[in-house]
Amino acid sequence: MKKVVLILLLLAVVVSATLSGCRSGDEKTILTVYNWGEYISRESDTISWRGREYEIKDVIAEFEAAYPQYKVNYQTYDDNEKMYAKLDTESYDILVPSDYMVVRLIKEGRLLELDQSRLPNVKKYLDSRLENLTYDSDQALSDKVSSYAVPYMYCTVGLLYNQEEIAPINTNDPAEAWDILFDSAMDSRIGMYSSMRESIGVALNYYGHSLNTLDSGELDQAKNLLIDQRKNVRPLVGIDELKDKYVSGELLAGVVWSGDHVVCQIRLEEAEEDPDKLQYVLPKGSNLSVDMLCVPKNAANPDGAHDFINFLYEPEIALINAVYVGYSTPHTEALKGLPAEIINNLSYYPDDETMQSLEIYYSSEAIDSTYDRIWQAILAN
Amino acid sequence: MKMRRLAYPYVLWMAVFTVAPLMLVAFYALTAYDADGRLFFTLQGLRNVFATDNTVAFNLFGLADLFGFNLQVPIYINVFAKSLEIALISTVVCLLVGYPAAYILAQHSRKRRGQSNFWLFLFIMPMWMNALLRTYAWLALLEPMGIVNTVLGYLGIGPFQFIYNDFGIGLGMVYNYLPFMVLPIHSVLVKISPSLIEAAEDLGADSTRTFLRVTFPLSLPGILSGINMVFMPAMTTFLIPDLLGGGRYLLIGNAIERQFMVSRDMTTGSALSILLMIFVLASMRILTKYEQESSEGGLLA
Repeated sequence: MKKVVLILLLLAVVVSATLSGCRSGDEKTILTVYNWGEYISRESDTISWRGREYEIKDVIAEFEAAYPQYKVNYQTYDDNEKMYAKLDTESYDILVPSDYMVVRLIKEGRLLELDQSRLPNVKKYLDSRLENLTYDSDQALSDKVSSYAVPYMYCTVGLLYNQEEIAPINTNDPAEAWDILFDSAMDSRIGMYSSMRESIGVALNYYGHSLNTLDSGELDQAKNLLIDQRKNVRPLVGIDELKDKYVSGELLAGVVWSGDHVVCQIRLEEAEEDPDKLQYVLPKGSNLSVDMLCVPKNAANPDGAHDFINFLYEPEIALINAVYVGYSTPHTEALKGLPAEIINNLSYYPDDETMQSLEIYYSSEAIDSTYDRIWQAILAN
Repeated sequence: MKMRRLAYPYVLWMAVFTVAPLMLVAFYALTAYDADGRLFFTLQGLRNVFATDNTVAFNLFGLADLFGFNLQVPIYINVFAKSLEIALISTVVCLLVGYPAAYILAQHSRKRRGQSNFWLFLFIMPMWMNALLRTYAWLALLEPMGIVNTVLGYLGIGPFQFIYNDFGIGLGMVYNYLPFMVLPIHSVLVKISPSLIEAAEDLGADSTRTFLRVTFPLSLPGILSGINMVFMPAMTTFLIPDLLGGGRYLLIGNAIERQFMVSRDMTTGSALSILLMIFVLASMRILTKYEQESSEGGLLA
């Protein structure tokens, strides 16, 4: 008898637990965010940066607290092309592609036009310089970008080097600045990104060519340079895993997004080492890249997506992300909270003149297929 | 009759998880969608694999460097050659390391007939752990600033570049696949009747001769199935080169993965898979033919 009562009690507990589970599940709608790895604050911590203390919070948890009707399903990628490949089969509410990928998505009609009236924070705080950049050779298409996408973070592509091991590089000339990447004396000590545009772009910039060239002679030159580099310099190729290797001294130089350099410096500071051990050079004609928040047409929860974008533009949240992520923020209010050394550094926050000297990647059918073909040949070696 | 009915779930399993996917891959390899989303028959995927408009220098076993020739081949031929090269080297190393190991283990097993072999158990135990985890462990050990190099540094040697090169990939392969070479050879060796060896000795053969004329020929089936079981996975893996190759290696497994995940070209990706499968089946066919010609079978017979 006792046993039967016990079993009944147990059953009651199980049933009520599942029922209550269902009820709380019904209230919340899922918001699926697909973002770059290490690109939003997921920790509660205190970060000291250039002598200033910052209180970091888990931004996703903050969002779920501020908007209890949503439950965030957060996923990450490390390559624009890999993100693109998933769009056919998966439904996301928020994507954070780079500029050229945004243009491609707009061209293919995959993005939802944003309802600006639901994004008051963006209107209030967005640095207008980023809206006025030219994102495509077709000006009409470039103008469309701001109605489909909101800048999240931006950065430049430059050379990171360890000044304890490498003589100072005091030049913006791309041929001199990038030279160390192709020096066989640096065997196995160089880091390169595994992404296509960054790799080919650096090689093109090294020879002084445009990052969007379609000239087959120029592209062959870049291809051969990268093939030789893989053979003779044997760089380590990756994305996020490279940062710790620069910090530890395993890698001495490499191509980095400016934000990754900032992150490396913060990690050095955390380990109570001199952050200026790792230096950053921004060659002329290198890349300026803006990662943007956008909503795909097949999003299941476009309302939540708008709320999320607007939430990321809350000054306090934007500052937390800017500190945690290390990339340059397009948020005019959050900018004021950052250390002076950072916002005055033209490599992170380029002035108009420096911006003019940089190039944005363009996307067209010809560029996409030609670059992919060259990239495959480089990989196949 | 009863036995046949018992086989039905297995037949169903094979149909759903082996035959159907194979046919799907073949179907994808020969079809594509046009601009209006209509399916049509095409050989473009197969043509892409052998496309001569995108070529790279062929350098199998470094022969091009050695003899200074420059042969341009379609990129996938080169990827295939590179995979073949690494798989062949790994298989040979596995055999050279695995055979003596299996021999010693077999002698040990034979001495303690009926009891479980502790050394054999030690050999199998790592296989209980996920290959990914074991490969990550190698990363932590052999990194330029990893555990091994740190210890060597205290002794005043190094640092050595163990991984992110051919050596690292070879090491990962040999480590992961060695048990697949040792086990079939071991199981054949323990089955060899001691009386045969005694007979050879009685007839005046020394130990070298006994091994070469009796033991080794009798163990050939084990060697063949060992080769089969190492070469095939080594040829098609993409996990090990990805982790231990420093992101620079595109082997045939990675190339297929890339076609599906990055280029979104199911047709070319499936065509590559089919060609790889034909190659694997053909080499398996050759090996099993050898195996049938020699007497008793190993694991695969």
